Amino acid sequence: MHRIFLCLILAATALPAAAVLRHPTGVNVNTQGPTTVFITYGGLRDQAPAEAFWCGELMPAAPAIGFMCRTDTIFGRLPLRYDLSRASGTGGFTDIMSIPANVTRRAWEAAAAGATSSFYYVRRFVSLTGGPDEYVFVTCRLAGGGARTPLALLDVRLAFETETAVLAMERGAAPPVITADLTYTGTGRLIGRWEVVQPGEEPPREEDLLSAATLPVELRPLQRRWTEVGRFNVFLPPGGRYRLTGPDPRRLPTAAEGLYLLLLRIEASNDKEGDSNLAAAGAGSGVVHTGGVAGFPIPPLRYYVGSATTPLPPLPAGVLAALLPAAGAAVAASQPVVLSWTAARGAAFYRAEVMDSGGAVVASALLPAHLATYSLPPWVRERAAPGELRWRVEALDLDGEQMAATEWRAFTLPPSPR
Amino acid sequence: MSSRRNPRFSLRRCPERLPGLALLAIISAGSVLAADSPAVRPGWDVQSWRPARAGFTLAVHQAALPDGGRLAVFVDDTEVTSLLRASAGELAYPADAPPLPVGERRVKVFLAASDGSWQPVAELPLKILSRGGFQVAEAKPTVDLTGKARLDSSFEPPEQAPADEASRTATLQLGLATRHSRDAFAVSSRVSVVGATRQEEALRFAQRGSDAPRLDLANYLITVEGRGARLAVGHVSLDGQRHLAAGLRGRGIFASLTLTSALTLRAAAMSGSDIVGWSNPTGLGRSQHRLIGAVLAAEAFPDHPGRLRLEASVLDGSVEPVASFTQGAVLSAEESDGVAVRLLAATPADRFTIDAGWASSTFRPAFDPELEGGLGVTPLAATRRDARYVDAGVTLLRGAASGGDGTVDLRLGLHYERVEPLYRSLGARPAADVESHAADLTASIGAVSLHLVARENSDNLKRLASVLSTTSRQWTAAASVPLAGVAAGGSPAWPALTLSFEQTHQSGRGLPANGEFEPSHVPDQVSRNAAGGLEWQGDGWRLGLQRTWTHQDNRQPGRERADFETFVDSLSASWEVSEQLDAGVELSQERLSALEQGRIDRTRRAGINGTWRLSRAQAILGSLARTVSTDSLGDSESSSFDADAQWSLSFGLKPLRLHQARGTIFARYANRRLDARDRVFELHTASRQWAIHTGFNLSLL
Repeated sequence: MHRIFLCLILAATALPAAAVLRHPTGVNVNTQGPTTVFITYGGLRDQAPAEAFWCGELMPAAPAIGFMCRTDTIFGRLPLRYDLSRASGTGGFTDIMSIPANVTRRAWEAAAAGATSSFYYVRRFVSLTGGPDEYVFVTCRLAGGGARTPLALLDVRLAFETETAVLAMERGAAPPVITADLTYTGTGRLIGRWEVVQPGEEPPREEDLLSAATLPVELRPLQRRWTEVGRFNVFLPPGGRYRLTGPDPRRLPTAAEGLYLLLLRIEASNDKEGDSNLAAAGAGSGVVHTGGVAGFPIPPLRYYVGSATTPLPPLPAGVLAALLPAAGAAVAASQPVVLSWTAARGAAFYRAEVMDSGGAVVASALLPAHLATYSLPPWVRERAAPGELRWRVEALDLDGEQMAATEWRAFTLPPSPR
Repeated sequence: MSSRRNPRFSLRRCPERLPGLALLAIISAGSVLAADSPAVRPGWDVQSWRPARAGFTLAVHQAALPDGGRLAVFVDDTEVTSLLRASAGELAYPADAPPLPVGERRVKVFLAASDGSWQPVAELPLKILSRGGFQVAEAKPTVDLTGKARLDSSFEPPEQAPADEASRTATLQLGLATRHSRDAFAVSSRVSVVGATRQEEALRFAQRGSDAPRLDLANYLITVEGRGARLAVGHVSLDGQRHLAAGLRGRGIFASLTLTSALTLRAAAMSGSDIVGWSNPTGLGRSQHRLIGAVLAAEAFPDHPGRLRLEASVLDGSVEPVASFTQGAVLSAEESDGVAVRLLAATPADRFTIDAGWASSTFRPAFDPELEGGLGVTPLAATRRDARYVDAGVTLLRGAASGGDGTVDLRLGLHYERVEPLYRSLGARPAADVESHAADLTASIGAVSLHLVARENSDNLKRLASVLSTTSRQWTAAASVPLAGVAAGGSPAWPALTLSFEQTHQSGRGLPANGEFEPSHVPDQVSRNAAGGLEWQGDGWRLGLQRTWTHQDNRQPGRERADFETFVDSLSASWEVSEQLDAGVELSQERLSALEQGRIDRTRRAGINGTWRLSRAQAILGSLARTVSTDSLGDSESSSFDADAQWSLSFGLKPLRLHQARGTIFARYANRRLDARDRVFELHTASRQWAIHTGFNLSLL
């Protein structure tokens, strides 16, 4: 190892001076899984970032500037699907290094075979003015992925407590409990909020689905916001797994039909291990906090409010009308309870129903069209739960389809005097 | 569909097709009911299933009925007397009457005496087949069409404004659920399809962008079961040993078979992640992204499941780096195959229990073109690794006298787990390269419950000298105390108290050699997290108070002062003011002290929300929230304000002859403001936006 350093130092003295700086220059990474780190590069002068590789050893990049990967120790390149790099700051560049597990697996196997356990992330910068390319590396040290590793989200699984990825529910119903199963490195505060995109609102862009810490500091306030239905500020211990409980399901809007998106919005928290110092990177001044960085957009959880199974609202009066008992009437124990209604034009049958205060149907009958009354069985007084009863009648056509329905009307059955 | 034709008589619609004149069956007879000579007999074989349109007849033995009164006939709880036709000694529910409700019904006959009393005369089973010959045949289709428009809006800065063409959009949701059964055979299905006119709202826009179909399959499941076997196609799951196949979910095929009373087999083949959409309808279309697993379970005592149970699991599969539909993750292309066994045993009353498992999985790298394409990457070897665990428990006390009203239960658990380095199974996500020992004690003393846990984890099990090794020790205590149940004469208004404390000490075991580590890179951190909460609940109201405190104490050289202390206080309350009005309040304060920087960040939030139900069909919802963040150094500050209001009205669509349909119209106002200043980065962001949206929904079936 010392020999490698010596070679690097000697070689460095013979190379053109590197101009591109970066911070952090080295990080602890998880040996047994992925790791994500926020890196700031600065001092870019007419240079554009190109590809990035991981490798076990470096070699001088001459005639280019810096150190590049030794071709026989390459572990892989930053996959395009995780490349969230973008220009930022003063001549700066923000890189989100998401190391897939197969890269650290290669590093661990190399270490087990006796090689140094550290490996390197090398980003190439191309000169736009015909100058030499420049290679900039960040050292990755194999560790357990707990404390001293940047707080980063590596796997986020959102779910309702159902087995479907897309939930369909009735209007006004309470959604099931929501959870987010998190896999992470590091330790610290996870701060954020739950938001809902309601029908008709502009859906989120990919930048809106990223955790705030994944964006350069100047872009974070530009993330759009939607209706907030919950906020959280929880401590993630060094352990790598956490189940974040979603917002109170009663706070989720379900009053109007349509497509809703539930968003998990992660704010940047103050995590010392993930701090990126812009001054050290030559990209300005200040320290960018990156607690909660994630190398992927967090997908929304979708739910559709709809379906026709909710109760139908009453029809306008005039088609079918309830007569007796009148609303609020009390039917004496000595009298039979007779429901009556006005005939509806075109009705083939009627169905009369009586419901008690507990919502149970205590009497029901099918009747031909020429009858517009129904005498309740005497046991209704015994079966019904205490309190008001409600009744209504439906008009059915020849196909048995509902043509009309009266509103539910309340009445009471006072107990027999003793 | 058939539910329309064969509705439940008691509560649902009853489609009849009868002549206008119905018949009231008044029977006059003599004598009293003879117990051994029923007055009413069924005119059908009560053991056999009958078509829904076959009607039924009742043979009435008039002489067995008492004088006076009339017979009243019910199907389940719905009276159908007026629909019956009477002839000599017989009452008939005619065949041209509406179809009877499908399933197992009861025909109930009463004698309504002239003095007003009702006596039960007979109760007879009636089994009705559906049109297709099913004993149960139900189908429930749904169609929901939603249109939305942005009536007016303002966005500052203007670049945050959405495109004009997005101001009017529509979405569609189609659903169908069916259930059919006959004897021991049952088929059920459910399918959900969603559509959107705007490409950005397409179900798979995040995955396929402009190629995402606007009408797409959200999920489906078709299940066939009978005689101890079950076959499912669609979105299925499989649970096996926790280190090999824990909670697999995906689109594919699942089968379970009860081989004997003691032996069951479950097997599944499914997509490598939970997918949606028309592509790959079976989930098995891509061999590079497919999992196949099975679990064979044997019960030594089938009458006492779990007394002694042995499970064997196998899993083979390959995955591409494709996340599930509701997952975001950093993934690799991988393959694995493995086997596992699990033993569960318990003494009667679960005094002693044991759950132990062993798994062996072979990882094989798969080609990931984005990671490796065109590169000569160092090869990854196929590696076989093991994992094992034991969870044991013993009940020390059960129902012991506490000296008060309650009893004491006490249970001790001991846990061991070891997962070798680089262990990987595609069906589970255990943390690899970790050995864990833990003990926990669960106690309940009357209404009070207490849980204590001590755990130690170690990593770098191969002791690689150049890899950082850490040990974590964790202590956890949690208590739940319903004060109303504890205090003598406690009022129901007394709150429930919850307390928890957790301390974790993670430290490195020395400085790794040859790994470019410096002493400050080796962790030595003690974190403490405590939480307390009080919750009151009354008739129609609820009040909750919560405080959490966290302290991160870094002790490694050079970072001794890099400590954090956090307080989070919150209050939430809700009140059902009346049947029409609900209200809620939320207040919170977060205080984060970065001790090294001498900086304190504060975030305060206040929010109120309410729902006013003007009628069963009409409601107004509203919410206001304000969040303010500052720091003690004056480096940054931000404030945000959110206001939302919505009015909605639902209505029927009978005038359009859509008797089952209904609609909803809504109007919504949203206002969001953000003012954020960061003096360190010299940033000032001021955004203001408001929009009025309106829309409709039609639920057509």
